[in-house]
Amino acid sequence: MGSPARFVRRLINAVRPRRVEPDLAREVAAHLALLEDDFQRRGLTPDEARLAARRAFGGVELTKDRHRDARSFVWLDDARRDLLYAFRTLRRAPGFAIAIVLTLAVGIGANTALFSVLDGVVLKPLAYPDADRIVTVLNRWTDTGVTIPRLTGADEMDVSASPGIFEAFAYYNGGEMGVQLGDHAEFASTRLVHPDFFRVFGVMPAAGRIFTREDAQRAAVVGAEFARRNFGTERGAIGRTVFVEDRAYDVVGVMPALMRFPSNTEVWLADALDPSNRNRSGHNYRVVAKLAPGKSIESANAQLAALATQLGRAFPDTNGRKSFLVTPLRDSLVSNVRSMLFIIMAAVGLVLLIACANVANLMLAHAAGRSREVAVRAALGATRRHIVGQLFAESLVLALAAGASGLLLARTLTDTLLNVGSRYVPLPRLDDVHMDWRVLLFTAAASVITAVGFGLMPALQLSRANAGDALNQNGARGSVGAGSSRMRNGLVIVQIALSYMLAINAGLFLRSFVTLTETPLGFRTESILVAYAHVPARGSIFDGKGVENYVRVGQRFDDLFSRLRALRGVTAVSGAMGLPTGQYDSDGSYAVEGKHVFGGDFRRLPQAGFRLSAPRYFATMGIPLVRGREFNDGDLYDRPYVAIISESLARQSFGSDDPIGHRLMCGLDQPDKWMTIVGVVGDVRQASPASRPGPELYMPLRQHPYAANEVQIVMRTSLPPESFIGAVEQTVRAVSPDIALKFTTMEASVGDSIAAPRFRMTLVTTFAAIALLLAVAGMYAVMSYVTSQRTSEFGLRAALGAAASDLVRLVLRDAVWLVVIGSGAGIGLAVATSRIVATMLFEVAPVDAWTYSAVLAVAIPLVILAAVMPALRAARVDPMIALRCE
Amino acid sequence: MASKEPHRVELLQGTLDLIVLRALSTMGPQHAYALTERLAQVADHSFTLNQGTLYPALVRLEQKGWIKGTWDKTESNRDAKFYAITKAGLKALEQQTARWRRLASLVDKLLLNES
Repeated sequence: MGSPARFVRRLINAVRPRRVEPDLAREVAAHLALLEDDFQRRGLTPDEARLAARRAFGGVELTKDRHRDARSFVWLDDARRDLLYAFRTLRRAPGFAIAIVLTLAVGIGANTALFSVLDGVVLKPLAYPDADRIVTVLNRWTDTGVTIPRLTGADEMDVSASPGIFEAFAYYNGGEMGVQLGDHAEFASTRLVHPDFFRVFGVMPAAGRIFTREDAQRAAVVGAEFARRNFGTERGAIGRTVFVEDRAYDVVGVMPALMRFPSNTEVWLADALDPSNRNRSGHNYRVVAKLAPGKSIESANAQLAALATQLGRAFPDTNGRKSFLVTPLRDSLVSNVRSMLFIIMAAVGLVLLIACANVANLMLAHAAGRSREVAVRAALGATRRHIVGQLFAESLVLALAAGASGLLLARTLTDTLLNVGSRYVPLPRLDDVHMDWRVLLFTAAASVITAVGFGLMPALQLSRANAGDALNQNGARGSVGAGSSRMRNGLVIVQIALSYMLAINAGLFLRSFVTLTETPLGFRTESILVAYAHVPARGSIFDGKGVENYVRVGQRFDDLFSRLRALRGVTAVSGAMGLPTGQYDSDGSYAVEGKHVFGGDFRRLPQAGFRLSAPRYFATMGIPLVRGREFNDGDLYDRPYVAIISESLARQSFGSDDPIGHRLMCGLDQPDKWMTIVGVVGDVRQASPASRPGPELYMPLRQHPYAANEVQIVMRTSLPPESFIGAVEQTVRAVSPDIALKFTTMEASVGDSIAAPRFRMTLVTTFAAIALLLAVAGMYAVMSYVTSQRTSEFGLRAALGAAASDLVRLVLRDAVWLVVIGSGAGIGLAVATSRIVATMLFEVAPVDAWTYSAVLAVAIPLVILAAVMPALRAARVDPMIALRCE
Repeated sequence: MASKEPHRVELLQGTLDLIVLRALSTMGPQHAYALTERLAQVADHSFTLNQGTLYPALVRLEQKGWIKGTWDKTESNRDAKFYAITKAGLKALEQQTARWRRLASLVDKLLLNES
């Protein structure tokens, strides 16, 4: 019976029935004709013969059905027919189909992309073996609860020596440094690490080996990309030497690309077994550690709390209010971006919700509009299975098209997010991000279930209802009760409310961002070229060795500045350590002579940002000199120490007194020297336009040589600053090839510093726009449906003398009600969520009346307009045609 | 979709195929109407073959490659689809006949023994 050949034929017939069907019809007709001939021969009239033949043959359609049944698979045949019919139906209503597909595609695509990023960055474990045991140790002030991600050198030694907690423990510090490679120098992300550093991560080297304790201050491990760039191959790097701060390190290992911790590090240098700075007040060392197997974070914390109490008793000044906190490394890595990503995820989730509501509404309106067609089909003998099957096929076609477009969109968006994201936002773990298939499946399933569910629900209702009822309801055109119209209105209100809430929040982000870009920074940004320059020097601040090396470096920089000043088109040159929006930051406490003693618990002293600058720095940067003088070429290492303070610091420590001539002391490098204040300058926003102007303490570069071998050279230019990069590079190389260089402009630097708010603002605004569009589409769909239902009523009204404007008003009244309720709910939701977004806003109140009104002033008319088009269509209807609809 | 069939004398599963094949092998190519007539004749009008049963059987046999339908003219010059038995069909007829005989004699034997 079930021969394979027949199976194949049945399959073919199921897919392509075209030839068989007419053939069968012809055969049946021939059969009937032969029967008729017979009956005529027996003496019947042709008419009688035809009837008799029919009777003798039996059910023609039944036979055909049986034939179909035998020649193919019924269900497959049905499915094929349903799908074809669905395609045809949808082609007749392309607007509807496109609306649904786009709505779903956006919901699926955006969610998948965003969730993939979120998942890769926040949720997935780190890609190291036993990643759940990798932790960091934070310094925690017990009185304020504030944590700092760094320990002091002495605390680090005590914590690492606690027995039984850690399997491996390593401190690290450093940042971008000049790395000398014999013939050239390169700025590379470089970290000085304890030799046990790689034991914490358990990553196998791509070539060579990891550090042993014998490697301290002698060996380096480099990244695979760094090795290829500078030594040709990974293997070729082994045995070569790199120089950092005039110290030679032999490359003993190369790390695979996945190992970049922390923040894209390419060069790891084995540091001493114990930190070089062993005081208890300078928080200079970050820590990574691997917990001993079976050790829980709670018990580690309990043990360290006991240690902290002990230390607090022994060193009350520095450790009296200090404790330590063990945290999973993953948590500390993503703590900065976590809240932002969740907010964005929430925005996308809302868009998915709105998309689903929209699809539900469109499906409801569409299916309800076809109730008569369904009723007719039912009356003509279509079974419920057939009707449901056909509507199911329709929903499925839409869902599949949406799924495909959603997938496409998800891929593109994920790539775009990664590209844009890596350029603008310091997302820490971009390597771990891939488009997530589970998410795609989830969102696709959510949207498809919505589409199919709502596509089917009315169908089930209708096909259950008595076909006669549906046919008789001519006036209402379809058995659509108050229940489903309430549902449709409810869905529109939900859409309006959610999209308005998103739009209001987007408006807040937008306003906040605009305020940010327009904020006066306290310095000029245009036409300033910035060159990060690093000159190697050897020695240590902590034992006071090598100071003459550093002083010599200072001379070289001064020499370099005057050469650069000679370049045509360069109008001013200076240098600084700690440029606003730059990569270096330093702060701490200071003492005012006669008011404080520099010592004891430093947290009782006033705080300020520490900056170093060369002569003419303030003039070059356009920072106004309020009183006194700038630094000059005479402020050298062996001269009396001087300082310049910002207006904020002057207010903080001197009130209305004149600070000039007063003396300060700070712990930058020479805690035993008083510095005389010689000038007061304007406040700047140091970290970014979003930061408050605060107290700043400026000191001459040349008087603090240990911190001055890496300098940001600022050059004011008369032409676009980028055009000077080549000339500056040449000038620097001519002075020395071992100076590592890196360029940016002040404008780019400021731009980078507000990349996160810009990214956030762009994303949220995009999603709000999508949500609004969806709400508009939802309103349009519902109003189109409602007006089409009431065509005859409008015709009657028109016939009885209602003006077109009356009819439009009639429709719009309903729309306005929906919008009023929706915007009320939207405002409520926005107010309710304002606390969450408050922390991300800059100088904009979370419930900002201006923003709320501005957004609603755009959004409300937009959605009402969506109802105007169907209203106009209803008003234009010819009364005669409308009445004939009865 | 299909409504319930009224009860009628049912052929054993597979026997219709056998009967059709047999008829075609003895009478040569036939159209569906002639086949109905022929079967009614042979059965001495003890049962009427429903078209709803014959047509699916024809499709089945054709898909198995045992018969082949071609369009031709009848004596009365009407178009009709003539089914002819194929080589594979002849072979299948042989096997099916043997099978039927075995089955029939088995049933006979059982019926005799039980009575």
